[in-house]
Amino acid sequence: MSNELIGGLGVLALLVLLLLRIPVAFAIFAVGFVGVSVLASPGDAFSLLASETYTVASNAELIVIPLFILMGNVATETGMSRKLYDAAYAVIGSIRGGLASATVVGCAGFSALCGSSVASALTMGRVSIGEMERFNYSPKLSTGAVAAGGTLGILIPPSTGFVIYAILTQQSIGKLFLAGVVPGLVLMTLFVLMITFLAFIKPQLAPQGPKTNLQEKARGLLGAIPITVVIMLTIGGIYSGFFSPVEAAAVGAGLVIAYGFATRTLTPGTLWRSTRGAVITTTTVMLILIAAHMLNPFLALSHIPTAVGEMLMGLDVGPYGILLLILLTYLVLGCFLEGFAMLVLTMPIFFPVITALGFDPIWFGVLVVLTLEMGLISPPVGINVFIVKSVAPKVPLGDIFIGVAPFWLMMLVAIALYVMFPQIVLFLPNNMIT
Amino acid sequence: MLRFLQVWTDHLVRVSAVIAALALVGIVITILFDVAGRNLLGAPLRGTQDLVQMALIIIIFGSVALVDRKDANVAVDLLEHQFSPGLNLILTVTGRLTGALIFFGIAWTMVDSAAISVMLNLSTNILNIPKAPFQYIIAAFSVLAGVSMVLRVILILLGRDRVLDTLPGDL
Repeated sequence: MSNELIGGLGVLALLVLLLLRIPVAFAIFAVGFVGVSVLASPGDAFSLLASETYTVASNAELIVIPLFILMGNVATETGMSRKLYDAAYAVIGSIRGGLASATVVGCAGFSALCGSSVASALTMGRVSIGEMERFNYSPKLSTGAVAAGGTLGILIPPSTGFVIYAILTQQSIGKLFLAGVVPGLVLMTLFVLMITFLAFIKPQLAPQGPKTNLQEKARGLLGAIPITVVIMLTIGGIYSGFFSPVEAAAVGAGLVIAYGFATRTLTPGTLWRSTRGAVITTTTVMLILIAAHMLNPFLALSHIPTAVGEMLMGLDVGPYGILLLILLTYLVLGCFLEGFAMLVLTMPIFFPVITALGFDPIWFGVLVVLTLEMGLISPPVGINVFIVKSVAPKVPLGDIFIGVAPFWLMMLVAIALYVMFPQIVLFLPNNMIT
Repeated sequence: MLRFLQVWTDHLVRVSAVIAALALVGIVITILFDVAGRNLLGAPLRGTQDLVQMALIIIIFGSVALVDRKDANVAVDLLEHQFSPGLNLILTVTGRLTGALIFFGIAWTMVDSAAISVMLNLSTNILNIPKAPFQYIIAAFSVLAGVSMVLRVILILLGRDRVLDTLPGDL
């Protein structure tokens, strides 16, 4: 049996194990371990298990994951997310579709505090869906806005998706974080434009919200100042070269904890809950990442990345045609696979092709993370849709999927924009002060 | 006997999670001291990188058992509702046993690696913190995770499984 065939069988076995509900990390571990045992030797597989586990678990750069998750958890506990929504609500809540737009803007703001799309959707869903229900918003639009807005969590830094991509492809976490800023804001704007368009052509979807006076607007905006300071310090600190991503994450976490205790919105109990949540989320992500380092040698030994690379390069479709094929693969896989599993499985195969074609790896990272975002709201898995369903149990799942469809199309528009104008993505990282 | 094992494993799982959480809070404070020292006093905290490395090990492996006890491992549940309850039970048990095998494997290889680290006197770059104790810590936490998973399989098969709650009052 050829190495390529063994590799192909391994990938197939991995997909089957994933569909059979074997936890993603365990499935990847198992396939990687057995694959290396077959293609090299069991002794090599055990050596890899020890060395890769220790190497990944002691990679100091990865501390950004728990630190940023802690920052997001504490921000939620201290009501900072509510204040973000209130600020957006005060400014644009009164226009047609304004509450849904405020939700998306709030999601974008919260995304800058927290690297998780699920957390963004859950937090903003709790805050905003009831409010939109009160003003007779269409449940499809309100839940769609929350589910789609939540996906900004893995595009706007800090983003766990970027950290995983950076580790798998040996890129700079700081550059990837900065590369996500403008595309995240552009996508947020596209979402708001879509809401405004829908409210314009079908006014019954999004009735006008309550008017706010100047004082209420000022109060709303003042409430968001602490959050803005934290965001400016962390993202601005990375951009200016004042902080490394690790330092920015610790400073951000320290600031929100200090804010929580100073405003008495954080107690030792809630800090414990936030910390426990952060270590649990971190470990689920890190186990997948450690497992990925078992799978990669197996894929390399099987020569699958080389074979797929040669096949793709042999296609007479040009570099952008190959890129399109790769992105389409992500869109299809995103309907069935968990995002990180998809990254782990595909990166060793596609990344060498992308670099061989001369595409910028940071730019490609943003495109990949954007396709992961689309997977978060694509049927049938679409985890953000299920999260929103848990916050709005009365809204049928089918209605939520219909509600996210216009936003999904906007993501496609965003991908087209970033492919045509790479400078949208690369402007900040290329001008980063190091 | 089973109840005794379950109670004590759950206690250990909770304690290991507290250690992981304390490591996270500790590392926030450490990095803040480093940043403040570097920017305000021109004197960064020496060896922060080493401390971060070791803390990350504790954060990850200290909470591995808790992740399983809280059913927090990421899985694709696309077909769960299509499967019969019997098949779902078999798959749950298979997943846990696979996990247990992996963690026992990690523990075993880590003990071997620790012995090599002792022999070669391996340590971190700046503070010269020996590597071996942390490899033993990974091994110990991995054994705890493996035992906890096997226990859960037994409890699942006996119909007595429950998800662990870890509020501070439980300690």
